[in-house]
Order: sequence, then C-alpha cells, then structure tokens
Amino acid sequence: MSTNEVFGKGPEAIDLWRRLLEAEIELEEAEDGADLVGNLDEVDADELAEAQATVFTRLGIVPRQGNSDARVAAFLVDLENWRIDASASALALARDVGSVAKTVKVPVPELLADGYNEVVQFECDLDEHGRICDLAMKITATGLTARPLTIALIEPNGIVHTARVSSRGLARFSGLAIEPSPGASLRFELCR
Amino acid sequence: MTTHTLAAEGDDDYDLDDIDIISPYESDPRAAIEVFTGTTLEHLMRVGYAVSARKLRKREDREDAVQEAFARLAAVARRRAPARDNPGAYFARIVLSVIIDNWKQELAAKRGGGAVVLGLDDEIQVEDPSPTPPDLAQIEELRRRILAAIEALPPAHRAVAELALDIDSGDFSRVSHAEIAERLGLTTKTVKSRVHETKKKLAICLADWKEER
Repeated sequence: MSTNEVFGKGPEAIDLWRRLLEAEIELEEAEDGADLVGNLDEVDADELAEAQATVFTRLGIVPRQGNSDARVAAFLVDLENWRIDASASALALARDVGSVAKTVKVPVPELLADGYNEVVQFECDLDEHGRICDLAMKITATGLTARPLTIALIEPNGIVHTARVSSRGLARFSGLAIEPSPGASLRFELCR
Repeated sequence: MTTHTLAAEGDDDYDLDDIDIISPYESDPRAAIEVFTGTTLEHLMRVGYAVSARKLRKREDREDAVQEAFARLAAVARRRAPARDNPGAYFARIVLSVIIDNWKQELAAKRGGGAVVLGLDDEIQVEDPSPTPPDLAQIEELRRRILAAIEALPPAHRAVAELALDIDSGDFSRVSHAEIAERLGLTTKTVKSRVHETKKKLAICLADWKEER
C-alpha cells in the first residue's frame, strides 16, 4: 500500500474522508440550501458575537457606527514575487498554497518574548495613492531569508498585526485601517 | 536578541510599481453584500456560524470558514444579479462549499506526504506517513469493505463509480461527470445521481468502520 493513498495515511485521513463525503452528500441533497441552515437559536450568542467581530475586522468591514471614512484594506504579501495583492483571489491563493490563513493581533513585546531572537525593524512610506513604497526591497535588505519568519505590521494607531511567512513566502494581513495620506508611513518588523 | 533599524532608502533593484495595496472591496462591502442578498450581514454571520459550528470542531476554523465564505460572497456580489430569494440558504451553501474545499485540500495534503498548513501558533508537524501495524490490518479491512460495496452496486451504477472514484486517493473526480456521460452514453444528471449514490454507500461504510473501531 502506497503512503500516497488515503488508506495509507491512517484513521485520521479516513475520518476526514468520511466527513468530506458526508458534507458533499449534504450539499448535493440540499434543494436550495434551506436544509443546511439548521436551527439558528442553537448558536452560542457570545461566541457568535466574538466571531463576528473577528471576521468583520479581518474582512475590513467597517462597523455600522464606525468610521466609514477609514480606508480598510486586506492584502497578501508575496515575498517571493514581490507583489502585494489585496483581492479576494489573493485570499484564495493563500488558501490554495496552504499558506498562512490567519491574522492575529499580538503586542510586539509578547512577540519578542515568544522565542524570537532576531527582529529587524523598518518603515515604509505611503505614496499619494496610499500604496506601500519599497516594502519588498526593504524586506530583502533585512537579509532574513530563512523560513518560517513572522512579519509584523504596526499601524499608525499602534495596533500590531502579525502573520507567519510560509515556506512559499506568503503572509496575509487583513483588517488594516490605512489612511491613504501622502507622507504617512507604516512600520514593519521581520522576526525569526 | 538582535534589533536593528534599516535606513529608509535603498537601491532600485525591484520594480516598485508591482507593489501596491488594492482594497478587496472598492466600495462599502457591507452595502454591496446587503444589497445583493437583501438581508443583513449579521443575519448571514449567524447562518454561516450555525453551518460551520455543525461541521468544524475548532473555533478558529469556524471563523476562517465564514470569513472565506464572505470573501466569496463579496466577489459574487459585484458580478451577479441580486440573490434575494433565500439569502440565508444561499450563504449556507457557500459556507458548506468552503468547508468541503478546505477538507479536500487537507485530504490532498495528507495524501501528498506531509504538506503542512501553518497558523501563527502552529509548529511544523509532519505526519508519520505509516500507520501502526494494528491500524494497517483495520485499514485493509476497510479497503476490502469499500471494494465489496462498490462490487455490490447495480452494474449501471458500478460502471460510473469505477470511472469517477480513485479509491486510493478518495477522489471522486478522477474522470469528470461530462466525460463519464460521454463515455457511457448517459446524461450528466444521471452520472451525478449515480456518483451521489456511490458516495452515500461509501459514507455508510466509513461510518460503520468508525463506529466499530
């Protein structure tokens, strides 16, 4: 039996296969999706509220009573190809390559205390269109090429976003409130 | 710990025009989705979370699935006519599709010999590709049962199943429905239906096996 077979991967893979099949069957049998919704009252209200805040923030959805003028962006940093992409397809790309799919907020001191022994800080200016200037170049200049790395972005308001840079060189940030004002700058830290 | 700060200026080795931030939602995403579906984001969130909570054990996975579903919905909302008949059901299908896609990817990664999905808090874990000896005997028994279940299908169903299913990988799209239809002189609807029935048989086999273990 080859180890590339689902059977060769043991009970965990087989159980995943079962759940996958059951979900596919459920989706195929749902006439219009109404059966899939289930009982909404069973959702834990507290967990839902927290999840909503997390998801909406990551997606850059501004709260109803929030600052609707804030430029909200989600983007994916492709360190290998020197691109930053913010489209939904970028999010899909991150998933497709099995890359980092989480954005969390971690204070820098905690990050540093968490086993990282080297941190490089740099700043990137925003141009008149709100674009980040010379990020890739500065990442290269850090000389930190080993993976995995953690990249942290510090917003002007002090909020820190971190993401693990995968072996494919991808990291994703989302839910950033970036004002596209000329002359503003963003602070980054690359850690390992 | 080494900490140092780089100078702001650098050389021009890279094409800086390639570096940009583009908002995924040029306009207000809330408005785009709510106009498209005719319901509130909060309602869709509740629906999405209900679906993902039934399928996913980890809270972070639920959040990721709903997040991805919203991203897909936002992309669709910009391209298509409004889908307001039953927006909750519509979104529920998207969420379940996201979960299925993620599981397919996860299964493919397991098959592929140790591909790893990393989260910030995760350490790299490469699975042991070899089941332990007692598992191997049980798994061989499962394989035998699945083959028997396919063998027991009516001949017309079996012909479709044998083309569609790669039993070793668990993949039901080895040959596309359209191609199977063409090869066997069936409609794609018939092929889809027979693949569906085969999936149900296999799911029962797998559930029974799990129950007995």
